[in-house]
Amino acid sequence: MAPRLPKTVKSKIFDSLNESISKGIAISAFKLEALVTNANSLSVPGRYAVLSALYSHALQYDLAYQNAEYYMESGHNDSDFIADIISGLTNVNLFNKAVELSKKYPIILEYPRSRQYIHKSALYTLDVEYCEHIILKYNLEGHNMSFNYGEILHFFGNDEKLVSRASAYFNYVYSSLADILAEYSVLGKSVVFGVSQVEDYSSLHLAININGQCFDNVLDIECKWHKKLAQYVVVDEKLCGIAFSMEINC
Amino acid sequence: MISPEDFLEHSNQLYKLDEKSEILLRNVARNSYYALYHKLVKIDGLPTLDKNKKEFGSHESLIQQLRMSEDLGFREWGLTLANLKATRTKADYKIKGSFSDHDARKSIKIVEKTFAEITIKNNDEDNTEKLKKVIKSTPVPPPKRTKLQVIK
Repeated sequence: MAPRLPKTVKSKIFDSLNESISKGIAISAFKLEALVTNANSLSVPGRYAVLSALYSHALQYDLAYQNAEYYMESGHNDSDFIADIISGLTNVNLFNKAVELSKKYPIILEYPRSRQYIHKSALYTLDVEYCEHIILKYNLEGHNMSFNYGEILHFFGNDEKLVSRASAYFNYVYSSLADILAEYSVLGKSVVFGVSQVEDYSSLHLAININGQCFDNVLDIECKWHKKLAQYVVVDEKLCGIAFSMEINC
Repeated sequence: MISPEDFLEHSNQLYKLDEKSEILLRNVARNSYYALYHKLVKIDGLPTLDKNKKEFGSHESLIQQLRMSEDLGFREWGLTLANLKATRTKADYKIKGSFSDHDARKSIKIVEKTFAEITIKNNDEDNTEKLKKVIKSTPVPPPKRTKLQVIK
């Protein structure tokens, strides 16, 4: 059986993470230092899982992923720890990293909660091949998504090469989003993503809900994000029409 | 005859009203979108789309032209227009859901910001043109040649 963490330390750290999520503000450098000291008192490999979640919410992405890898490399596959790692990555929109980790360590898909996070991440990064793999191999009952990979394929006219270009674009989209949110020390509250159909015209829309920020700040963050997105050149009609927005979470 | 600025002004007038009903907010977003569409459709220098490919509506085509442009600023405006189009679609078609004050206010702000950017870009281009003309109208005389004295 995988070693368990003393509940008090872990719950203290996760209380801070939940507080940061509800406020929409990343863990500050000052607070992070204290929490890392606490986490370091935990035993390995659980410590890596907690550190990964902690660094995710401090928007220190490299350290979050590094600690996630340390945990997975340890071979101690505790479903709760794995879910903590994956939910940490997806909470800060590192969907591409969550998928990357899962492809490297397929055991992640064996756990229902992690599997749902990974499936969502694969959908959000338009990795239809991986979505299909998850759907065919596992039961995803109770996983309520507003759309599925079939709709993505249909939207792109079942053109697999176009889907692949779209997926590469979305990896850039999320990387640029992570950079911008780190610049503002903001945690996105949630993601709304799907195909919108009006009469015979359909379009994709990705909206990031932000809370704890004023109107002008959210507008400013969106404008900066668009500046970064504009640097990525797209030539496919379907990719040109995709809308990206930041919304205030009410 | 009306201008893109008239659409925007109308949006602003509506939004300044004390009682902001949902239908008013939806009208604000729609007018703001059309202000931006009509402003951007007049821009010179956009790439031509391949007419052999699937036909799109004029609004989608304009977004594509902006997004496919080599000009970074145009590509950014393409993203803005795509965004506002999604808001306009929500305002006009998704009538069963709610439409927030935030959506309407944001539409106005984004269009105002983009109009300002277009003005700056146009002024920069005008100044560049003027500068070229000035350089052309006052040619610099060639330097007088002086014979070098051979020092013996």
